[in-house]
Order: sequence, then C-alpha cells, then structure tokens
Amino acid sequence: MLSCWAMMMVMRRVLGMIPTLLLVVGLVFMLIHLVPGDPVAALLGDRATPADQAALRAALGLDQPLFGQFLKFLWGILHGDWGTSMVRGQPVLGLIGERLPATGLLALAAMVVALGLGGVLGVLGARNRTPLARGVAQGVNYATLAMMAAPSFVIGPLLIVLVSVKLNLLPVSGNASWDSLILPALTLGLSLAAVIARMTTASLEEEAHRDYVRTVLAKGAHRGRVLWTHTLRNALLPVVQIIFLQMGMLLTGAVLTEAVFGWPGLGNLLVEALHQRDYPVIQGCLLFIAFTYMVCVLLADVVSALLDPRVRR
Amino acid sequence: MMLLADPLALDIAHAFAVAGPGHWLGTDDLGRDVLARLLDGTLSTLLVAAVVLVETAIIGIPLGIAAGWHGGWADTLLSKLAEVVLSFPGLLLALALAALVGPGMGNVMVALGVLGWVGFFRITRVQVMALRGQPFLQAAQLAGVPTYEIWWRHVLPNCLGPLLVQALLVAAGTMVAESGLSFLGLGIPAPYPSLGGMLRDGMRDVLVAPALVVWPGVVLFGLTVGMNVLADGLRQRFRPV
Repeated sequence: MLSCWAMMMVMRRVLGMIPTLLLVVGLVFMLIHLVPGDPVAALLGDRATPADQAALRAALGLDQPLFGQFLKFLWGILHGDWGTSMVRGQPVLGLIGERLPATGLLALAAMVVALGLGGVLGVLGARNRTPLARGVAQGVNYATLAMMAAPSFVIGPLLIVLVSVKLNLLPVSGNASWDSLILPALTLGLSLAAVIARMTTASLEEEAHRDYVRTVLAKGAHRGRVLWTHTLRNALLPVVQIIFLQMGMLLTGAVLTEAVFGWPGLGNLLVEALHQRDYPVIQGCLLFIAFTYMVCVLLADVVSALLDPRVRR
Repeated sequence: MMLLADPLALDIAHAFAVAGPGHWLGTDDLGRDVLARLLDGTLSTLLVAAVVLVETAIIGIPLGIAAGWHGGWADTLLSKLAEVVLSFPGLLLALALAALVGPGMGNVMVALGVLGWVGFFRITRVQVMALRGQPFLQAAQLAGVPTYEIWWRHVLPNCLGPLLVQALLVAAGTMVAESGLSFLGLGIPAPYPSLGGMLRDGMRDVLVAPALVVWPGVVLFGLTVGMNVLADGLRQRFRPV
C-alpha cells in the first residue's frame, strides 16, 4: 500500500518537521530559565545553605553556559535520557511509560465515544428535507456548539453530580473498575464528538450539491441509499483528517479530565509535577505531548493523502 | 455592596447551609457565602479575560500588520515562532508557564498574554497580506499618505470583522484557561474566589453538597458557551460573500 511516492512524501514531511521540533525543544528547555529569580532558590526555599544551592545547581547543570546546557539537553533527549525526577528520583521517561497506558486507554475510549456520537450527530445535522429534520438539525447545531465550547473541567464535574451523585449510577472517580472509565471517556470525547459532527455536517452539505448526487437521484435511487453509499463516503475524507488532527488535542484535554476524575495517567503526572515544581518531569511531559501532537498532525496529512488521490499532486 | 456578604468571611458554624435569606445560594464548606463568591469569581474571570484581550491585541495586531505589510525575515521569524507556539496543543504551554511563574492573578494575565498574541498576529497578518495589493491602498501610498496613517485609517478598519471574532475567541479561551489553571490550583490563589477554584473545592465535597459544584459549573458553562455562540454568529455575519 505504501508506495514509493507515499514514502517520499512522509520523508519530506518528517524532514520538514525538524526545525519546528528544534524550536519546540528549545522552548521547553527555556521554561526553566523563564522563571523570574533563581529557580534553585525557589526550589530549596529560604533555609537552604549556599552549599546546598550550589549542589542542586550543579546537579541540574545550571552552572554551565546556556548554549552548552541546551546541547546537553538535546543530546539527552535524542539518546533516551530525559532526565531524572527531582522529587521521585526515577528517570522521567520511565515515569511517562508507567502512566502512558492509563492515558492511552482513556484516549481510546474517548475516541470511541467521539466517533459514535459525532457520526450520528453529524448525519442528523445535515438532514433538511422536512421541517422536523430541519428543527433537529438546528438543535444539533446548538448542541455541538455548546459541546465544543464547554471545557472538560466543567462538563466533568457536572456529569459527576448528575450521573454519580444524583442518579448514583457510576463511580465518582478513580479507575478501580471498568465502569469508572465511562464518565471520563464521555467528558473527554464530547468536544471531539462535536468537532467530528460539525465537520461531517459541513462536508455532507457540500457533497449534496455535487453533480454525481444529482445524477444518482435522477436515476431514481432512494435518498437514504444516496447518503449511505455515495455522499457519506466522499464526505468522510475531511472528517478522517480532522480526527487525526484532534487526536493530539485529546492529550491536552486529558490533562484536565484526568485531574477531574483522579485518573492516574500522564495528565495527572504533569499536574503533580507542576505543583511540585519538578522541572525535569514537567519538561518531559511537555515534550512528550508536543511530539505526540506533531506526529498526529503528520499522520493526518499522510492518511488524507493515502485516501484521496487528488491530494497527491 | 450591602446586599451581599463578604466573599472571604468565614462562618464555620454555618458551613454547607442551604439556600435561604441571608445566603441566597447557601454557604460552602467554610461557611462562606456562595453567591458572593460566585459573583466575585466571575468578576475575576472577566477581568483576566479583559486584560489578556487588551494585552494580546496590543502585541499581536501591530506585529501582524507590520509582518503582513513588509514581509521579509522578520515576518518569517515571527510566523515560525507563532507556528511553534501553536504546535503545542491548546493551553498546555500556558499551564506550564503559569505554574512556573507561580500562582496569582497578575501572573496568570502575563502567562496567557505571552502566548495569546499569536492568534491576533496570524489573523491580522493574513488579512493585511490579502489587502496589500488593493488599488485603494496603492492610491493612498502614491498620494504620499504616511505608512502609519495607512495602517491606522485604511488597513485596520478593513480587518475589523475577523479581529472582532478573534477577540471573542481570545476572551473565551482566556476564561477557559484561567479557570482551568484555578481548577488545578495554579491560577488565582486561595482564599480569593475564582470559578475554577470553586469547582475544585466543590469536587471535594461533591457527595455532601453537589450544589457547590453545580453553581460555578453552570456559570462557567454559560460564559464559555455564550462567548462562542456570539463569536460564531459574528463569524457568519462577517463571512465574505
């Protein structure tokens, strides 16, 4: 399937990412230097002796020239040495690996929610033959707008109050059993479902005016058949692209969603590190999320090129 | 403000009071008046949004006009910088920045402003690049109108529609970011009320007093959705025909 052409395109895109990657690494590296005042003094507090401060400064490599520090940082990242947590004493990459499965499971479940809900809402939003269907479509339009706008840390608590506290259906937080996955997945998946729904609607509406639709209808095909076998297939191309683009966004949403539900994933690791000012872990998490995000954007381009021969030009 | 209780006044004896005269929405876990805290928190959220909006517009719009008008290496550099900032998903960088600078309303304003100008920059730049070749601007240049006056009187008014939409999106995004930070305990520090902080505190006692989660949740939901609906409406109004 991956032809010579596709390999070439992927290579070109990967090479094109290098300058952006370098700048991203630079930005994450600079974070520790952007802190006003002395990060070492801030970390150790007032009672630290100058000797303690010097020791920590040396351990963090902050006593070396800036550019040298950056090269060392970059070298470490390329060789799988992402530093060591200042609080836990474990390697950062190991910590990320420990937490990744939980976040992956959450993201996967959210994606399932988003695809199911988004697909249904998207098709409903594009129906406009009868007054009832137009009313439903208008309602779907408002609903998806709200779903997209409302942040996960608002949706999450409101869902908890409604489903867990009032109706007593699902657990409030944690990941003790499979049903504790439902609410976090719903919270995280809602905004993505809205994006998919709106994209599907817009794309279906655009396809509905194409010549081939008129031809098929003129030949006497049923409208439902036209939708399912003709327009939907073509309309899904941009949707597939947006799904891959949004996969990266899932990770950010996961940070706050995990905080709401106490889900022990990457997001909670980052939040804990932010509270503890555990710089290596903060940098590691940010880099990991930024890398994943960029890979998702790359995948979006590649997949849309593979699916649509017209993009290949 | 005689009608309202002090949002910071503690009254442990009356913690978790139900809604009624004196406390129109009840009290929280420390006996503080929920309505007063809700209004105060909303005010902080709106204040942060307004300040960040002004900040980002003041940085982003002039840079965008200059970059779109002149092009060249400065344009390339700024665009690349904007691309990098945008290659981080959403509020993640703001989270990190605000956390490293430390909690506090002023710090939140700075952290969100440092990143938020990118949106204004990109919108303005694209608009100006589309306008640059227009005959009326060439006419103004040939008539000897100074560049800054062309920018102010001719270029800027023609970008206003998309900029207004962007302003609403920045305001909505800032409200989400600020309350997200406060929710994580990295924004407006306790005991000062913030909608995000009230949500987080409410989650602690969600089994005892779910109303403490519902009120800030509903207010935040209304604010963010309202802003976005407004932006969506304006976008359709200004859509090029």
